[in-house]
Amino acid sequence: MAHIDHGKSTLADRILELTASVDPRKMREQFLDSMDLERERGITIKMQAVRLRYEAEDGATYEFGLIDTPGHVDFSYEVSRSLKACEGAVLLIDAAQGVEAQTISNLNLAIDEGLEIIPVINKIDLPVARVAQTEDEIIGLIGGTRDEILKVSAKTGEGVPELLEAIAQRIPPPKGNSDAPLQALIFDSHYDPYRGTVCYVRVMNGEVEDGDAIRMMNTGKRFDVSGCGYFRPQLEETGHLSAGDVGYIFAGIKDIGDAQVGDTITLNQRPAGKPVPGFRRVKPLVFCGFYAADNEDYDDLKAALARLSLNDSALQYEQESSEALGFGFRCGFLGLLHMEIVQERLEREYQLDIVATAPSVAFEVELRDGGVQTVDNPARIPPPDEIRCIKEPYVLGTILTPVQYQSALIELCKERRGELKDIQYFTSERANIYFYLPLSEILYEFYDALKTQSRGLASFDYELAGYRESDLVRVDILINKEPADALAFMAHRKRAQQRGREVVEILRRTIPRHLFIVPVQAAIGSNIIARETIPALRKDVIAKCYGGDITRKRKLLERQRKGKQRMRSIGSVSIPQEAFLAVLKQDGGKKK
Amino acid sequence: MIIEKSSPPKDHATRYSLPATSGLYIHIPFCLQRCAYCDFASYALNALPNGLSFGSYADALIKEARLAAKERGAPRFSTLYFGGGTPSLMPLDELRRIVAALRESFNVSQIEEFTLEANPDTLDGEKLASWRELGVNRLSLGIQSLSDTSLKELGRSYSREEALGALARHRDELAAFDLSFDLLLNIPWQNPSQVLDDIRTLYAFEPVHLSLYSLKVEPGTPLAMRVANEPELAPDKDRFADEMGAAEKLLEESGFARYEVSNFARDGKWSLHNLTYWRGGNYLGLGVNATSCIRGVRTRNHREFADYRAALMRNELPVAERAELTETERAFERLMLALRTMWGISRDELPLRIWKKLQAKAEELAERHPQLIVAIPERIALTSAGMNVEHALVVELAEGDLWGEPV
Repeated sequence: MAHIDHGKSTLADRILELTASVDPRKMREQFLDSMDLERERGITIKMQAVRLRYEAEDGATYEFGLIDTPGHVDFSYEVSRSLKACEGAVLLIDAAQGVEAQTISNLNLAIDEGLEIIPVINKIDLPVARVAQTEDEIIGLIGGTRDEILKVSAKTGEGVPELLEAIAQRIPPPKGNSDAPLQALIFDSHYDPYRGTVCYVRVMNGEVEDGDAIRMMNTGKRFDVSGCGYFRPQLEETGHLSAGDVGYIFAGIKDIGDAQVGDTITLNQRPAGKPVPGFRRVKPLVFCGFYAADNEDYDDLKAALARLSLNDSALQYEQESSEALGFGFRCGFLGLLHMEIVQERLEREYQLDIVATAPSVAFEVELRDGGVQTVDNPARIPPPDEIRCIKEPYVLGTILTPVQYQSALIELCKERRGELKDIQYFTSERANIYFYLPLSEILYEFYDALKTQSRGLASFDYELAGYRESDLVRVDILINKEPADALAFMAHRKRAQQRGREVVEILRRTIPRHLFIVPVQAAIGSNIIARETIPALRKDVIAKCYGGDITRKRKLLERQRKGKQRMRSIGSVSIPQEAFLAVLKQDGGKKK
Repeated sequence: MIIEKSSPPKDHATRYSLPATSGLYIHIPFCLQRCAYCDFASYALNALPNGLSFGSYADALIKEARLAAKERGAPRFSTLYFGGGTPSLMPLDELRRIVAALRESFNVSQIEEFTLEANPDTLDGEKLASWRELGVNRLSLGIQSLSDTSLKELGRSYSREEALGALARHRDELAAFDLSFDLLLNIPWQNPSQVLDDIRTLYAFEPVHLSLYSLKVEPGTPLAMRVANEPELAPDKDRFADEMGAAEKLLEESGFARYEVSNFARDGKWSLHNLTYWRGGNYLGLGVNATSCIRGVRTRNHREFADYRAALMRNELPVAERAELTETERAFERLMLALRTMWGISRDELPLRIWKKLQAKAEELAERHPQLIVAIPERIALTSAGMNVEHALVVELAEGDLWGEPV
């Protein structure tokens, strides 16, 4: 485990090579990242498990499981799940970057699980490597001595044999009793069109074999095991798993919801007394609407989301409709990167052209009549006079930064309505700043601002920190007096007017003139806070039209006609998709 | 800003029915120099491609006329139009040869209107007299502007003084023709009121027809390159509407009617030849890049003289593109062209099933935008303000299943 870009997947490649787990002819970079998108972006989205055989210096052959995990904060739930299946963790730290925010959050996860931690400094071959300082930072973080820290270059392979030896010597073998009733924790799953759901399990106690009748302890669903074995990394059928093993089970489970990640599998005949303490189902934090750019692709979008969600349990979606955009889906994500990746996969793997509405968080709305609603779509926030207060999710953010950027970053967080909680120093040069921030404030360009203010040296991580009351208002955008539901947004009262002005200005520039004057307004309730006017069209004709111009004119008009048919209509105003995109992009939709 | 006139077409116009016409167009691709904004098929005299001369071009035209006549069986035409380029540059003997060949190949005995396009600096007494003898009865004079700055920037070959001098010198000979002047609106180098001054100045020569075009930036022209560097020169749509509104008011006071988007005439002196285009009539075009449309088949000749002549050498018509329009395409063209004129489109010009839906749509549109469109049971027409936004209105009228899928 490591902060993003510290070299996990490259190190995994070296380990696969040294343990001869992969046919050298099939070896390629980022071997365990199977998605095109992962390889292209150089990131890991989904964890991968593999069982390795290692002949140690003491002459013994050790079997151990390796799980390569994502580094990005959006996918930290993958890390926490995979740690449940482990006895130890390699904490990888980039020698040039030093300890970063996710290094600490991952470390805390591993400590919570009581794992043996092997600190490793990677990229020691880099000219800019700061090995000694990084060692100081690690010692400041977890104590210990310099010689407990391994130094490797995952790129050149230097130090990797020593790491394998350390894994064999330092990490204890799994505990557990093969004679006890079966407890196999499902820590991940994926859907295979031929075998159904493939459950990734860690057998805590007991044994399981092909043909066993099993039961999901949470859902109570029963199945018959039709195959089990190890990841090598391809599936190696053994027909048998026992306590301490990490492997897979499939049992003709057609609905992936029947094998929930975190559930415990036990034997139907001899059930365990209680399930393994699992993990809570991950809750989406960021929501947006996905619409097919061409409404006729709705069914394709629906099918594509259903397929994607089979292998992405964190993706949630439900049907919604928008007057402006037609039928689509309200989708919930772990963060903006997750949202971006799902959108990109829909576009690449399913050839869909997607319009995404502005990302939003889920608000808790307390009504005057005493009711409470959770609303994740600004257009669904009740009118102001029905609301007693609105609460929004907050996070506890951790910023790790060289001390010279500390005050600029504190300033940044204050601008974002942040509340400083604490500052810690674990070396004299590195500050650890803790802030409470509204989640919505870190969605838009926060990372970019953070990187700009710190010349790329600060890192950021966060965890949810409950809901707090805020002075939030819903801003409606009216086009020719009709609200454009897809463009409604939530804003802090002090910022509402500024943002409203920006949006109507963009719309004035991007909505073509019509045969009539089109007012574009931003409003809080019935109170107009910004207004622009699109003047009526006064010229739309080719002046010269004689024999030779007629075909050209017909084609021009046909194009104009076709363009108009593709536009969305609100208040009898045709709105080109570019206008929506210009507003939504401005709002967030941060692209790398 | 000038308030646009929003009166519906005159009663006489909505009842008027124009006779069916058919036109013969001859393209003359020679110019003294290329104008900065022009993307027509034309060649500057000092940069003629190999093999192109007045003589070789006349030869080619004559050959094409004979081939076309043979192919189509010597059709009859009611109008003849020499356009360009600058047809007035054509030496008289060559012009005579061409006209003789046309008389030989086609039935032009009933020609009602014979137009020749001319630039003011190409006029001389002998030419004017000979044109008259040849049967030319209408001259279309490309003035564009009487501002010296604009003329220079546009790359025209004459000054204000030269243009007005030539017109004055030949006042008597010119009086033998119906005169039409072309002027450009939306010229960024001149004041918006310049065009009004120019119209008043030109009244002295008693035109019966005026064409007011908008300066348009065509891709690949020197003007386009210039606008790319100086975006403030790009034509402004509001300015067009303002200039057109003011010019229209002035012209109407003098008895001119805006009978088409860009054309004004008085005493019913519409351009019959051009009306053929707007009313879906048949026309045959000869010369480089010329287009023809006969009974729904549209063709376009080769644009380059070398290709054009090579085809003729092989005794083939020099056609580069040919398209046969579907019934729906013809109807759609009919609509988009007819709505350019003050007569609009009438019930008998379209298949009934299309007319019925169209009429319902037009009534609905007229209800919403009475200042733009007029719909009565037999006819749909645009107001002046409507003509300025004709494309948007046609797109509104064409919405839905009426015209099938856009191509």
